[in-house]
Amino acid sequence: MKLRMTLTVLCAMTLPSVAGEDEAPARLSMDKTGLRWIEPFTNAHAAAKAQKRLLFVKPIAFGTKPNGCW
Amino acid sequence: MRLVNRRFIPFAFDLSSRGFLGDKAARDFVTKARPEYGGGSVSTPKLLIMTPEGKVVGSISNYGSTQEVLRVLQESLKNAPAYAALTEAEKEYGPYQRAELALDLLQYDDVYKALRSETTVRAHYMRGVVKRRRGQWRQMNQDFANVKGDEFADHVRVEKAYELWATGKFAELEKSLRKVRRASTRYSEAQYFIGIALFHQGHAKKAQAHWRKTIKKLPQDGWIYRADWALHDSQTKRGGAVMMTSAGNSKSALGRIGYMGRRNPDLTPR
Repeated sequence: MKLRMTLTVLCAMTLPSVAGEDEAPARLSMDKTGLRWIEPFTNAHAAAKAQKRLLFVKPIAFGTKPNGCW
Repeated sequence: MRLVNRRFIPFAFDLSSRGFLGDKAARDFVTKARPEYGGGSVSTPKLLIMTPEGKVVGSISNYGSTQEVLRVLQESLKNAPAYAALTEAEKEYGPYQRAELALDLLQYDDVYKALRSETTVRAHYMRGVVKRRRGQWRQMNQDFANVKGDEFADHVRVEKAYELWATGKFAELEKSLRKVRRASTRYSEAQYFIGIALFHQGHAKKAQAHWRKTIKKLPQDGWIYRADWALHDSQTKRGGAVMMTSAGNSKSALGRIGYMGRRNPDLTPR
């Protein structure tokens, strides 16, 4: 499952900013950063074991919502 | 990103089980190795590189630079070689696939090894990419001079643009990138740097208009996110982190909110 949001927080690779006052923000789509996130953890952990790969884990310490955060 | 996708399993979760990305199994796994993340008030957690057995082999500040991220990822693989082996499929790769893999893994000498017998335009192009990444401009241009035909024309144009960018030739940078065709897979990257070129020529308003138009018209990808970052950053005072909130006009042009990272380094005067 791709993350249903673009959390720049996830690493220093994604990011973002401010619309002019006279314009509506463009529509935010699914995360297109290119990282192939694996969710939930049970799937990620199983994949790491099966593929003998390291986990790249980003814990988030604020409330996440379906449309992002806060 | 390609390095992560090739050799890591990316996963994110909310430490709070009440959050949308809350995941108890993940929380238990991580807090066993990092008990400090199990409290009620946690400062911004680091990105952790962990074995499936739960050992932390690397960690990266949430505010780390791209260079720091790449360094820690490479060190983690070096320190845990059992998790960095070639897959069965990769063992069967031909020269170009091996070269692509080596590029993704940032193992540039292996690109040359994989292509040592190859003299096609693609091989010249890939060797040129390595030299571009290493900042070996003269050698890069020698390789790209051998990339004839149309197939890689836009790729070469964008690759060569990095020299113009690195050497501060912003007018040339803009002029060159405006030739990149809409159908090119490098188009959004070119548009991002056209904005950067305008910005450094002292045309901040034009740069912002260009990024705004790019963000609105092109499908989202990493370059569109970066344009979003540059657009916001160029409109706010320098200093501190870029923080967006859901209030007022402080959302990004894409409607993104949250911590957006350090200031966009591409806007730093050169």
